[in-house]
Amino acid sequence: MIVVKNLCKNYGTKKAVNNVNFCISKGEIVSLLGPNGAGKTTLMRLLTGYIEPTSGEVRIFDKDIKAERLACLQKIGYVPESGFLYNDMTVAEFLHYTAQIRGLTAEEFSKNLKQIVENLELKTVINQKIETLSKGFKRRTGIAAALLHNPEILILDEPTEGLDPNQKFSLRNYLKNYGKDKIIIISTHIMEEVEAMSDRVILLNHGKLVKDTSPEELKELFPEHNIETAFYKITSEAE
Amino acid sequence: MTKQLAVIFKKETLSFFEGVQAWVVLSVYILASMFTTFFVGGFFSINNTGLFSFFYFQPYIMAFLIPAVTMRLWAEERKNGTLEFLLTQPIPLSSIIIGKFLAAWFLCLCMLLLTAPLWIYMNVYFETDNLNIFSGYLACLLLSGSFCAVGCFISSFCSSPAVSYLWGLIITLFLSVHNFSGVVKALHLPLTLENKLSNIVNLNSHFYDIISGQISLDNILFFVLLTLISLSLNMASIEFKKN
Amino acid sequence: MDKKKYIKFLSLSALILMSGIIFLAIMSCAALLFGNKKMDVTSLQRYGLDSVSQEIAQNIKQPINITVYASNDLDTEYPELDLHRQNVMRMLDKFQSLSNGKITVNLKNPEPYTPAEYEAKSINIRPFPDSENTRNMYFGAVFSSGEGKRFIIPYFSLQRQNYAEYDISRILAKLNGEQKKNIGVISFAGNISDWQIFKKLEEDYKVVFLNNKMPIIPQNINTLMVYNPQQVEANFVYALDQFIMRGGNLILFIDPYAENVAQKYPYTKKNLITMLPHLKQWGLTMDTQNVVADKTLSGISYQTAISEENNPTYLKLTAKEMNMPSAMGEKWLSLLFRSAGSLEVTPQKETSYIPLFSTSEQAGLINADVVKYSNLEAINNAVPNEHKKFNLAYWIEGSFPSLFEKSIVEGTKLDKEFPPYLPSSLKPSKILVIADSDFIADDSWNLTGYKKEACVYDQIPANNNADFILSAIDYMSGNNTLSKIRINYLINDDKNIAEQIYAQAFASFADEYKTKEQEVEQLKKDLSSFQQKLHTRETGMSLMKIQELDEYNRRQQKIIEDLKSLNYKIQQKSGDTVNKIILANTIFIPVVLLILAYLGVKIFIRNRKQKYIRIINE
Repeated sequence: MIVVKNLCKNYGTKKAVNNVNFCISKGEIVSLLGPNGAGKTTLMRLLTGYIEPTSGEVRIFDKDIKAERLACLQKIGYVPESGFLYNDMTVAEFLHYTAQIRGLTAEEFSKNLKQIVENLELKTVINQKIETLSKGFKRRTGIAAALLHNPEILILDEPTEGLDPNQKFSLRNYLKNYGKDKIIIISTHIMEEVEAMSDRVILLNHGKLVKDTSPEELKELFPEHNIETAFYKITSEAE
Repeated sequence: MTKQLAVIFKKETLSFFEGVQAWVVLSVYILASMFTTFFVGGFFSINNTGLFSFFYFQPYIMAFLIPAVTMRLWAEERKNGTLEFLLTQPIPLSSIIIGKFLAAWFLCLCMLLLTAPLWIYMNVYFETDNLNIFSGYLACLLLSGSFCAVGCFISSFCSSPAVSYLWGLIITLFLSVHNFSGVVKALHLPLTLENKLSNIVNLNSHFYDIISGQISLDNILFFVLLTLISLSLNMASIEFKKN
Repeated sequence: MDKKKYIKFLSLSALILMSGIIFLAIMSCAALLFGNKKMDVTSLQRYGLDSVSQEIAQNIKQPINITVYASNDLDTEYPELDLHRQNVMRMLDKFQSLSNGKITVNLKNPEPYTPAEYEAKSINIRPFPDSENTRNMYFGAVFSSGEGKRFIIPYFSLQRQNYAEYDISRILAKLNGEQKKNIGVISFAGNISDWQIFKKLEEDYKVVFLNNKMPIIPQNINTLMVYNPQQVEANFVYALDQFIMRGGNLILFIDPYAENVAQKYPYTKKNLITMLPHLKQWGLTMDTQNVVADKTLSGISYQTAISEENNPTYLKLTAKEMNMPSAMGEKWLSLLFRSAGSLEVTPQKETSYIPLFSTSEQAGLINADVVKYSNLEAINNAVPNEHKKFNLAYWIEGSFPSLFEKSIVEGTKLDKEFPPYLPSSLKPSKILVIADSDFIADDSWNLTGYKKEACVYDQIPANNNADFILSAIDYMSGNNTLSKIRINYLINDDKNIAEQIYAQAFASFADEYKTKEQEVEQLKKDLSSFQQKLHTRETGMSLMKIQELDEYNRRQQKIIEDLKSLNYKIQQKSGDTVNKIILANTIFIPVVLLILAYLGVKIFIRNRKQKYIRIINE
């Protein structure tokens, strides 16, 4: 359960996140939508406690992320936008390192590693250096690292970017399956993904939350019955 | 906390040794140390029961090499964007900082271990003052520790390892060669006071006190304090960078 | 965005500045609290102030001002001297902190052509050139008391750095003490006033050289040194007797074979020695024919090369063979006796005897003439092992009856001018008898060359002979603190590695070298006797003789050539050792260690990769 209350983040005079409120409960797959610079990445960073809010609070399973950051982070798997991997490590080394940092025991690690490597089809590259991998593999390695400790909350920044259609398809299915009893927050601007995966859309523009509905309702808002149009209309309206 | 610290330490140490960095640093160190010992320090011609010829040049050699050890530690995380990943893991920042520092210090320990054969050799064939040599090694450890901490701090606000190395070099050379002497001289204090002050801030004089076998608490405190302050500045600079 | 960066930069630099201030504050407190509390982490305890020095510092009564003139650039020009400077400054700080504010230490930097330099020059602080010989540098000190007494160390020489504490302690004690006292010196071996030891004594005492024919020793002299008495006249016997009767203190050097005298007067056939009748009165007897030889102690005089054989009549005594009276403090490091005599005691009433120095249990006696006229080998062969211990010096304290029944000037005109005749000791005397006249000769202890401007602080003692005599005089004249000051051995100069390597290399050729040298000696002897014969015309000059002479010369040339080649071999061998050390420590050992470590890391990585594959395939 994530509760976001009056969340603000200012960079100097610029308000990157401006008074955002929402609540996400278990079993929800939420899409964060918004044009570039709308504050999606900032919001995600706020959710993970990587940056501290100017005002307002984020509560994760009833714990304040500011006060009990480590306990909260234990429940979160976060995949930043891109290029957060240690290039000189192999995939397995990286996953092992992540597991150790999160305090997983050796047995837990073995079990989870086997499962995740199978699910994300990483078996062939397990002992390859990350820098030699293709974009798709890198992306999946990142997701694998985030999933390694079976987090209650999964936060993904553009997860399907750089994947081929087949991979996108299987990843979506996997995440949908995973999100049945967990919370997944996906930031994206690929509309078909929103439709295919999420049951809830949070639409940001200029740091403000402009819409918090389901994709179906978002479609119905405008006569075109199309999320893309809705997105365009809502975000340009505000300007 | 200690367990996660150990994880960071292990990861950093391994990445030193898996790449070329550790090997280059170690080879350059041993070559430079032994070269200065034998060809510049007059190893054979001066009294050397305390391996003075060897220890004398350590501040200069370490000033050149330790920035090369620490340059990657934070700068590369920032360059690759892994810092965000690392800082969103359930691990306290202090563990990361100390873990990285300890890894760099461990490499310095390896450097010193490479020179141990000389100590053993001296013990077998010549008269040695082992207590004095021990204090020399202690001095080297303290010195390398504080240089590592300074290097870590500098690495934490540089965006690439090369920049970090250059800045680190400037600062460590300033500490070990310049020793604030110009700064103290610019204050135009009376000579006695000037000498006292320059002794207080002079890294070399603290170092040479210890290697010559006259340790006082302030000698040790100098290095420990330099290390602690650099590490806390390191922490502050990471916090600053985040926001 | 720029503003944000600027603020970040500003706050970070503020933080750095603040840390710097905190750092400086803590370090200043630490320096005040701990700066002078140094722990000595050397096996030899090289840096501590001696307990006597501490006592001296604590008992200083009048304010003492110490001004050190040290050039600032010593560290760049002469790093070793700069380390010495740091040690001296630290030592002075220690003295200062122990003195309850009585000592003040000033430091002046005599930059060229500044008032400080003129000041340094005017008080004879000695200049020395910098490494490029472009300017003068200084490192000396002036010690002055409120009373106007002043002592100067013109130059803290590196060779004398072991003596730094000794010198400073002595100066402080002297500044704190009374006027200089007189010491009388009577020599029976010509003028010895140019010996270095008197330069040393002059620093602390007024040395008065007295005629050895005078029947009286001036009343203002309470301590007397008598050097190698021979052909003594009745006047002197009476003078010395009455000197002891009035409680005077005496240091007597007496010897069956005084090498120094023999060198001075090479044409005297026999070494003239007259036993003083006083010895018997004090309960001492000395063997006048034989000198002590001890192979276990045989030292080499510093002049002889390392290759030369040790002379068993040169006795290098270490602390083991010394037995100092407790009032004179700890033992000395080394003393050199050269062809010393042996003393024996028949105890007298009211007299105490301390045998100060003795040989090992493996000593023997050897005739003085044999020592005088033989070469080293012959001496070595002639040394008997009598399994006996011989005493080389005695410390006697007691009262004695006079040797005379009445004054020798009784009834003459001089009687009235003389002090009254004393039939027995007024008060006990301290008498030090050393059975070796060469004990205080320069070549027994001093390495200093004879430079015109040289002073006490340029002396480089190889043995502590002069230090011991000075300490004995201190004790006799009542300066009990001074007599206990000892030398702090900061650096043992003879421990340098090149020399040790050379010695090790030499050891493997030692036998060969020795035989060759003996051959040379033999050949020289043969040659000289042959030439003697030619000279005295025992055999006539002929072609054959000339050929024989040539033959001798050729053989000598050959052996000398051999020796040279041997020497070359030794040089080569030690050179090889040096190269071996350098190569092993710079390249071989590190490379092996690094390769091992590299393999270790590779194996670790391989194992880990296999482990991951196993986990996945399970």
